[in-house]
Amino acid sequence: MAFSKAAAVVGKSHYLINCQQCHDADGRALANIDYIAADLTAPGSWYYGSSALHIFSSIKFGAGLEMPPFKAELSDEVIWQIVAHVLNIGPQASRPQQK
Amino acid sequence: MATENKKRKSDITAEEAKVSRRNFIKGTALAGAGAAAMLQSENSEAQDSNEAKIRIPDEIPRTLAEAAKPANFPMTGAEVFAKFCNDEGVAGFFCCPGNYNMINAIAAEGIPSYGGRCEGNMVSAADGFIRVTGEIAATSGTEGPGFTNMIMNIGAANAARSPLLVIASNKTIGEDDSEHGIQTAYQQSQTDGLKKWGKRLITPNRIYEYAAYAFRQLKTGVPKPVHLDFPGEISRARFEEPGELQYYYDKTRYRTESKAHPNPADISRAVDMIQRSQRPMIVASTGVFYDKAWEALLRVAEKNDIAVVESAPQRGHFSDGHALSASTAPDAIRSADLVMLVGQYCMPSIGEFAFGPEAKWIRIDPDASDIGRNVPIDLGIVSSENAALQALEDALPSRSRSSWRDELAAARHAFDEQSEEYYKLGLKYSADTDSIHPAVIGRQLGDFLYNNDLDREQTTVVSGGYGIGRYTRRYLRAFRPGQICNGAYQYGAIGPDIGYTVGVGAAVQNGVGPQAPFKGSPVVGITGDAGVAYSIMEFDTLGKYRIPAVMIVYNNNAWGVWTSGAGRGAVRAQHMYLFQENLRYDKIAEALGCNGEYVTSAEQFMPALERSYELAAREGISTLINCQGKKEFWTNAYPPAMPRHFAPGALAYYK
Repeated sequence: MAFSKAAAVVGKSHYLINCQQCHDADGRALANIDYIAADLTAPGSWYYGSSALHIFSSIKFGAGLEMPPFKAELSDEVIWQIVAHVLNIGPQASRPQQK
Repeated sequence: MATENKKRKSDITAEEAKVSRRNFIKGTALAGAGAAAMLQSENSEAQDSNEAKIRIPDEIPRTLAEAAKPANFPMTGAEVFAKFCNDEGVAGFFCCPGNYNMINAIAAEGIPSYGGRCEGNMVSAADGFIRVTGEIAATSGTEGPGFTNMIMNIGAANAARSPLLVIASNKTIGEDDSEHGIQTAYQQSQTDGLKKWGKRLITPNRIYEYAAYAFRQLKTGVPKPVHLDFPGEISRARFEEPGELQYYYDKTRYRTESKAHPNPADISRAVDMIQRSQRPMIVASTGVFYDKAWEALLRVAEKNDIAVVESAPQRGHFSDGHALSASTAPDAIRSADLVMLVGQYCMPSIGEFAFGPEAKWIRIDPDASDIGRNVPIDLGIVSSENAALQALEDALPSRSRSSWRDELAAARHAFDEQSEEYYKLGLKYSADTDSIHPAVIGRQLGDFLYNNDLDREQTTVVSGGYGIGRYTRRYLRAFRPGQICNGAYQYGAIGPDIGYTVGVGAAVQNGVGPQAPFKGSPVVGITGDAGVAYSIMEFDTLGKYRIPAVMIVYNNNAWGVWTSGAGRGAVRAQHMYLFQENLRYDKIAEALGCNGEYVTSAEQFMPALERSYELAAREGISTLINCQGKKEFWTNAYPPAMPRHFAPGALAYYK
C-alpha cells in the first residue's frame, strides 16, 4: 500500500488533518510554529530512517522527543496511506513508480 | 508576611494559610461591583513592617468616585470625540498615560476607564473585555514608543476580529518631519495589515465626521480594530457650537443598523442539504457572538437536531452542557457529513479543521468577499448570522436524529474518558517528579469551577497559555455566552493573558453584556511562565482596581518550544530556550500588592485554588498561583506529552 498512488491520494487527506500542524501542508515544515519538524521532502535530513517501514514506525510509535505516536488515533491502514503520501512528496527520483 | 515568607506555602496547613491570607490583606476588606465602589484607600501588609507599605493612594478611590462630567459646547476636539464614544456606547477604556487630552475627556464622560502599566497589555485588556461582552472597548497610548508597544496586541485583536478602537496621540501636524522634541513616528503604516480601517486626523473640524467613519467600521460587517491618530491640533481644537463641525449628524443618520438578510433561494438550498445530511454540524464562530445570535442558533439546532461546535475567540454561545454540543466531541467532528460555518471570520485552511475530507460545506458570512477562501464551499450565503439562523429556523422542518445524538454523546464520553486517563497519568507523573503535571491543574480546575458549590455559569475564564492550554482546554467548559475568552486565538501571542484577565475582570466587575448576572464575581486566568513575563506587572492594575482574579501560571522553567533546542542536531542552542529554574512569580504578585501561592505537588493545587478564589470573592484581592512543573512533560517520555490541538472544539488553539 505504501507504494500505491491511490493510497497516497487518500493519505494526503489524512496527512492534512494529522500532520500539517508541524510539517506544513507541503511537508517542508517551513513554518516551524510549534517545533522544528522534519522536512518530509528531504529524506536525507531525517534522523529516524527513510524507508517506508521507518516512516510507518515513526508515525505509529513516535520519534525523538517530539514526534508523537499516533497508534491510538490512526489505524495501520491510515498510517500506511500517510506513508504513501509522504513517499510521494519526496525527491522525484525516490518516489514510488507504481500507478 | 515577612515571617510567612520564610516558610514554604507547601509546608503550612490550609488553615494556617487562610489565616495568613487574612493577615496579608488586613484592612483591605473590599467587596462590591464597580471599580469606584470597590476601592478604598487602605494599607496592605505585604511587606516587612520596617518598609513602606504597599497602599492604594487616596487619589485613586476619590477620583474614581467623582461624578461624570459629560462635555457640552464649547468643546475641545478631544471632548467631541469622547462624547461621540459615549453616545456610541463604548463600554470600557484601557490606557497608559499620554494622549492626555483624549484620555481625560473619555474618563470625564463616565466611560469606565482603567490605567495600567504597559500600553500593549492595555490593548489586550480592551480586547479581552470585547471578547466576553461583545461591546466596543477603546484603548490608548502615547505617540511613538507607547504606540509601538501596542502593536503585538493590536495584531492579536485583529486576528480575533475584535471591534477594538485604538486611539493614539501623534505629535503635531505642524512638526511633521522635523523630529522636533521626542516620539515622532508615522503610526498609520505600522498597523497596516492589523486593522480594518485607520486614519491620522489632520483637519480639526472633521473630527466628528471621522468618528462616524470609525464607528461605521466598528459596528458593521466583520469587525477588526480601527486605529485613529490624533495630532495635537486635532485634540486641542476648540469648537464653540455644532455648526463648526462638519457632518454633525445623529448616529441614526451617519450609520445604519440594517443588516444583510439571506437570499430565500440560498436558504432553500441549505435546507435541502441539511435534510439530505445524516450528521449535520454548525460551527458557531465569532459572528454568532457579535451578532448576538445564540438564541436563534439554539432554536435551529434543536428544531432539526443539528450538532453545534464552537470555534471563536470566545466560547459559550452554545452551551457545552447541551446534548447537541460537539465542542468536546472530536470524534463526532470528524464524522460530520455537512459543515455549516456561521460567522467564521478567521478562516482556517483545510487540515486546521478536524472535519473529514468527505464533508460538504456551507458558509454563512456577512462578507461575500471572504466566502470560498481556504475551504471550497458547496453553498455560500451572504447574511448576518442572526438573520440567516432565523431564516433557517423558519424554513427547516422539525426532525429528530437520535443516532446522531447518540454518536455525539458517545464522542463526548470518549473525550472525557481520555481526559480522565490523562489526569491519572498526570497524578502519577506529578508524584514521580515532585511537581504538578498540567493535566492535574486542568482537571482540578474544572472540578472546582463546574462540579462544586459554584454556579457552573458563574466564572469567566481566560483560557491562555501555550503548552498548559493544551491540557486546560480539555477540562474547561462554557455554559453561557462569553464565559471563556480564548486567549491564544490564531495570532498565537503568548504574552497577553494577564492583560486579557484585566479586561475580562473589568467586564465582570462592571457586569457588561452577558457578564451582567455575574457582576463582581472572580475571574480565572491561565498562562505559562513564558507568557507571564510579558504582563505580570498588570498585577498592579488588578490590585489597584481590586479586580478579583485568580491567575494560574504553569511554570516549567522553559519556553514551551524548548525541545526545538534539544533535538535534530542542535548544538550550543538549548540555553536559549531555558529560564532559571523554580522562579517565584508568586512573590512578584505579592510585591505588587496582591497574593501569591506556590504549588509544587498535585495535593497542594486545590487548596491553593480554594483559598485564592475565596480571597478574590470576598475581598477583591487577586492571586497568582505559581504551579511548578517540569519541562520534560512536553516530551515523549511523558505521554501524551503536548496533546495536539484541532479546531474547532475544546482543543481549539489556532482557531
